[in-house]
Amino acid sequence: MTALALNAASLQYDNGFTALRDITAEFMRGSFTALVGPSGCGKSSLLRLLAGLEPPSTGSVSGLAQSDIGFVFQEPTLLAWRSVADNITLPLKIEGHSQNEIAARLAEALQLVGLADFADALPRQLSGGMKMRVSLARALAKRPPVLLMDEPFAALDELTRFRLDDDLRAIWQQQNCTIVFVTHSVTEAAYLAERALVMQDGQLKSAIAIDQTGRADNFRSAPNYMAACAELSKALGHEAGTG
Amino acid sequence: MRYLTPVLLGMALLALWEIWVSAASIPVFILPPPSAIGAALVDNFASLMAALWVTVKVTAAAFFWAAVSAIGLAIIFTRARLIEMALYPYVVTLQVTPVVAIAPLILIWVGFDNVSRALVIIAWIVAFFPMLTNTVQGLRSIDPQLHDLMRLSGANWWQRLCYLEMPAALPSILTGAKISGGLALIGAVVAEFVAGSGASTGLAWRIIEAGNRLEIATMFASLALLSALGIVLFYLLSFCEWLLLHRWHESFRRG
Repeated sequence: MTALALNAASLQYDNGFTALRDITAEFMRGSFTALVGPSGCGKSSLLRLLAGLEPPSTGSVSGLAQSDIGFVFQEPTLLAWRSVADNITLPLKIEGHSQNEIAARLAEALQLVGLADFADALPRQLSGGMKMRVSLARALAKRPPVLLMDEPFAALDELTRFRLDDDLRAIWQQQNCTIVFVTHSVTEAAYLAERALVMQDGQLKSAIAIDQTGRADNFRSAPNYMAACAELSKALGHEAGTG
Repeated sequence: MRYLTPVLLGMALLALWEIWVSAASIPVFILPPPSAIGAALVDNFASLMAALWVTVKVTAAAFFWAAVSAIGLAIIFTRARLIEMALYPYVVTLQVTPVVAIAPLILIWVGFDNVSRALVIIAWIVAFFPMLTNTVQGLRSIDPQLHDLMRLSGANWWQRLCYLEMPAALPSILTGAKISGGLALIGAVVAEFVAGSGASTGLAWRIIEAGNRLEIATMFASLALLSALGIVLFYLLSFCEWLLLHRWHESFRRG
């Protein structure tokens, strides 16, 4: 089953800049796809198209209603005056769920991201990694069938990122959702996803399936993970040994 | 120390003033000593308080309407670019034309039936603009990703206003309010000056009246009350700012 699809979609902004050209891609239900490419290649624009935040200039996007999409931005994008709990529940409140439902989903989301003890904290009291977890919890609380993530961990230190990568994998397996994850990091893409779409200059360059054997053990030292990294680097135009 | 030092300095300066005035035998109708000003304040206490109340009412009404109209217009400006383009030059015109020059017209148009309404309108003109520009600035500086978040949550315009725009713009609105509060008082004083005899009974009018009668001590007493009113207004608004922002806003973070 296809969860999201782009059919010859392109996107031109009002200032005339063409961000995406003729993109055709399918995202299967329950899949984990990474979108990789250098800065300015159109990855974020593609995600905005999928989220319905921008309409395609030509072509079409078929997917879900905005209420079925959980979106995680590059920055935590929290409301500084609302507590962690109030940030997470805001979209639910806007959607008009009952108090009981909201409380249950809040508890569940806090549990998923490991912030159960910080429900009453204000964003400014949290570290960068914790803020990102709140942002993730806010997206998860909607129980979205599709999770779109725009370089969510790019600004974090490497150890925090590794931990959040693992947590995200666990959440994905538990929730059975479709994830599209934008990143400029080859290693992050190879570690997280089952498939990586490589983008350049607003176009899809290639789709690379990532061999999942060795997932049960330490995947970061698995040979097929290394091979996926090498293949992705090559697809991005890096010569072996220089990137 | 933060409160003690300015109080001590003030007392020292008052003492110096008192001694200097009597030592140099400066006539009371040029510069009265602080003791005479204090006496004038006590002697005319009831009438000065009544005058203060008139000025407080004009200032408060002008400030209230400035806040309501500025925030309302700022919301319209940020939602409808066309309205902003059409209206903005006139708002600027209203701001840059000296209010003393417009005041007589307003008094003629409105002042015949209702002087205090004319005074409020004049003070409102003075107080309105900083509140408007600060609110517009605050609404415009909201992170576009937060707007995306509201869109993805399916928020309607009212929810967007309550959950995002008003709280996000609040620090800028309150900065504007602190400036507008002071300006509302200045506007009220200017309006009373222009309105002149018989029409107004506020503190500014007491200053003119006392000046005409060479009751310089009463003039100083009224002046002191005006300053006190301005200071109270400023700290009241600063307190509101602290109350609303200290929990979350960066400006209240201890260094």
